[in-house]
Amino acid sequence: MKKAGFLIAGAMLFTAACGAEENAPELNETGGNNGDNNVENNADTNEAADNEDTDENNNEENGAENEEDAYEEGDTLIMGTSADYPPFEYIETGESEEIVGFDIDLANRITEELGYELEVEDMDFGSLIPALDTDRVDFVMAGMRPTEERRENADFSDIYFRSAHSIVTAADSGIEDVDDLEGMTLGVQLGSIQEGQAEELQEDVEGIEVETRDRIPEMIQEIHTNRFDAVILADTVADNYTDDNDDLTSFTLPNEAEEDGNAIAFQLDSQLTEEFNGVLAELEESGELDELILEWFDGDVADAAGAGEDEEETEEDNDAENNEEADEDNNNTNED
Amino acid sequence: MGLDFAALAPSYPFILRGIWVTLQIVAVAAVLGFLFGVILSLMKIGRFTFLRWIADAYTSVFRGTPLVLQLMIIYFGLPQVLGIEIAPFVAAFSAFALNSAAYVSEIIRAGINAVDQGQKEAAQALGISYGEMMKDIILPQAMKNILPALMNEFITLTKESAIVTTIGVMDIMRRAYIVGGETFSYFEPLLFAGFIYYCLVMVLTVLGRLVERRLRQSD
Amino acid sequence: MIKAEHLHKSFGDNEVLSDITTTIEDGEVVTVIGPSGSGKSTYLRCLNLLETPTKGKIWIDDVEVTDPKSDIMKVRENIGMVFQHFHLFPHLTVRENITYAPMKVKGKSKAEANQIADRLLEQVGLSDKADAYPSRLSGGQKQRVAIARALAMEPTAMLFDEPTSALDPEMVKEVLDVMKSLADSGMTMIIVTHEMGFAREVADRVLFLDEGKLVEEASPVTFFENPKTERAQDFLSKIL
Repeated sequence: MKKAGFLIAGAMLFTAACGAEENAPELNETGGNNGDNNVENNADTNEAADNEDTDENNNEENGAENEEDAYEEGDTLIMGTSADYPPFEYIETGESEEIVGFDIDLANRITEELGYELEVEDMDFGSLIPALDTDRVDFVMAGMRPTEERRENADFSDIYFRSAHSIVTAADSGIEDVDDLEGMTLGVQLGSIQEGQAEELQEDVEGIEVETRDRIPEMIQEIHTNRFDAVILADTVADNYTDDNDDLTSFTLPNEAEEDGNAIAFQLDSQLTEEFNGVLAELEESGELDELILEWFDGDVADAAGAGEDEEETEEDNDAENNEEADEDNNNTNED
Repeated sequence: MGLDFAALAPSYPFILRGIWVTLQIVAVAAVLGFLFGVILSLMKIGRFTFLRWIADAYTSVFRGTPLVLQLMIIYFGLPQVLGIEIAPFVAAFSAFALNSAAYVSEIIRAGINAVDQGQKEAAQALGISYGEMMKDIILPQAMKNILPALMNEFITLTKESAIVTTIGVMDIMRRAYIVGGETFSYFEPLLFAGFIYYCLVMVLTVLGRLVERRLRQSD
Repeated sequence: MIKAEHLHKSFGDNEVLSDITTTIEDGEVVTVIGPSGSGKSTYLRCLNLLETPTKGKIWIDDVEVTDPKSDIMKVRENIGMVFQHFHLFPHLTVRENITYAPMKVKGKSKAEANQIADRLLEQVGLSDKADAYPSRLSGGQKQRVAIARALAMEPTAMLFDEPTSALDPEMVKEVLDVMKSLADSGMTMIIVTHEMGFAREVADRVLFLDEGKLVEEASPVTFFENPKTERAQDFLSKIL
């Protein structure tokens, strides 16, 4: 099975989609069983500690066989990521070598909950799924979407970040849907996912002029100064602003793909998928997930990234950011 | 296209720290690749057909497939087959050493063949053993001839080392990507990385000339 | 004593040596002459097995060196060879050229080897060139170093393969002088040469080869003044 896996991994490097199907049934058997058996075996071993030698040997052998694929509390999980995608995962290169970001915080939170240690390993985005498949990493968080092709080679958790986009306008602007944007100036954060969305809007609706700003608070200020008629933001962020500012309103852009969002990737039939989903559900219910999203997507991600720093703007930022419950400085969130 | 290098200023040290990483990989790979290349070249010119066949097959495989594939196989595949862990750094210099050895062996083989046959006869006539002859008489002379080609190979190695980004070694190139991702300005960090590679290659070139001059002192 | 018996050597279909039988006694100086392509050099190179004979046997001091079990390296240690094109090691100094083999092959200490080198360099008149590289030497000087290099192994016999053919005329004498004094010292020498005057003066015996065969074997006086075979007469008439 090992050899087959190796060959398939090799083939995968060139033809990303092929191979997994032959591989899957085998993995299915051993992988699945290992996950289940392991808990029992461990219990057995403990109980049987005083029993006869033969029994012990049996259990030890079983334990050894299962060790490879099974995770236990206290194990270190290696997370693969590609640290060039702020605010999900990136390095504040001016200051440190440490990978930080929303995904990192979330991974820390989940593994902490499950009692695992976490180690983050950076690699090229294209190498992440092969790394998963060849057991170099235990899971992948890299702002990754669970596409059909990827699902053939990896299991995915539930979506933990939905990239829906909202249009935020002044409450009295009269802009109520996409068509109302005709001839308007639309603000978007430089380098954000919403830039692509804005370009699409430009194609669909005539006369939209797109302008960029480095930071979201700046964009909100531009609405107040009437330079922007509307801005486009991640929906979570947008809700946050509108809840807190009576003079702002927003509507969500129609989202074509329902499953459009980020999920955590695991090895096929990994026991982790279920464990992580459990914690994700808890975090969503308790509102912790939203808090984390706000922490990373509302406010000055660009600032944290060191681009377009502008000291004078900070006073105005306070308005927009006073709703942030967590520490304003995103750097620290990674440490807990 | 407006380029703004000043905005990157805080991140320059981050990219520069990659020089050490790149140099480590290249240096280890170059030394191992060279030694292995010498062995391969000796197999190629030796008497044993079987060894010659192995060396030729090795060379054809490693020259005939993409380096990035070799890197992937070593990094992703080998740990599964052998059941051992291979750190990215180890995978990186191993892949480069193995690949480089194939090229180096061809360079050295040609260099050895270019040494006057009379040198071999003179050594034989003195009763000098094959090993000593190769080590002290033939190879030193071959080296002088092949140094430019060898330098070329090391320069190529330095630049090609950028593909270690695929397995997440924090070399110059990977760091440039990361800074690009962080600052939303992709071109400037890449150009800066290019500048660093260029400087490294220039240093290598100068070093090569110095060594060459030293070897030529007997002329 | 170096003995060849029914020696044959072919390169492919081309038979270069054909049934040559010779015996060279200790202390004897033998010159091998003949037209170019007659197999003189091949004969010489067979004697220390730089060429492997196709057929026939070679003995050196009662040891059959053509026997596959014999140690060729050991044989070569005891027979020095001087080449037409010197083949000095260009990346080593004159001293290193001479000391290398005694140190590596005979296990002499550096001091011992240096002592030998100094003595031999004095013998060939090149004491001042010890630390020069071969590229700085004239052809005659190079050949004298090559002779010293071969002598450093303290061989029982010396083979010379046209040692003066690659030299400018004015340098021939300095090399021949060295060889002459070597002959006077009692060294066994086999010399392939075109220097007829030298052959006549120094040799105890002359071997005349033509088309791979040993055609005539005689003392120099007999050979040069009264050659028995027609081919020898023809050859001598062309060159003298």
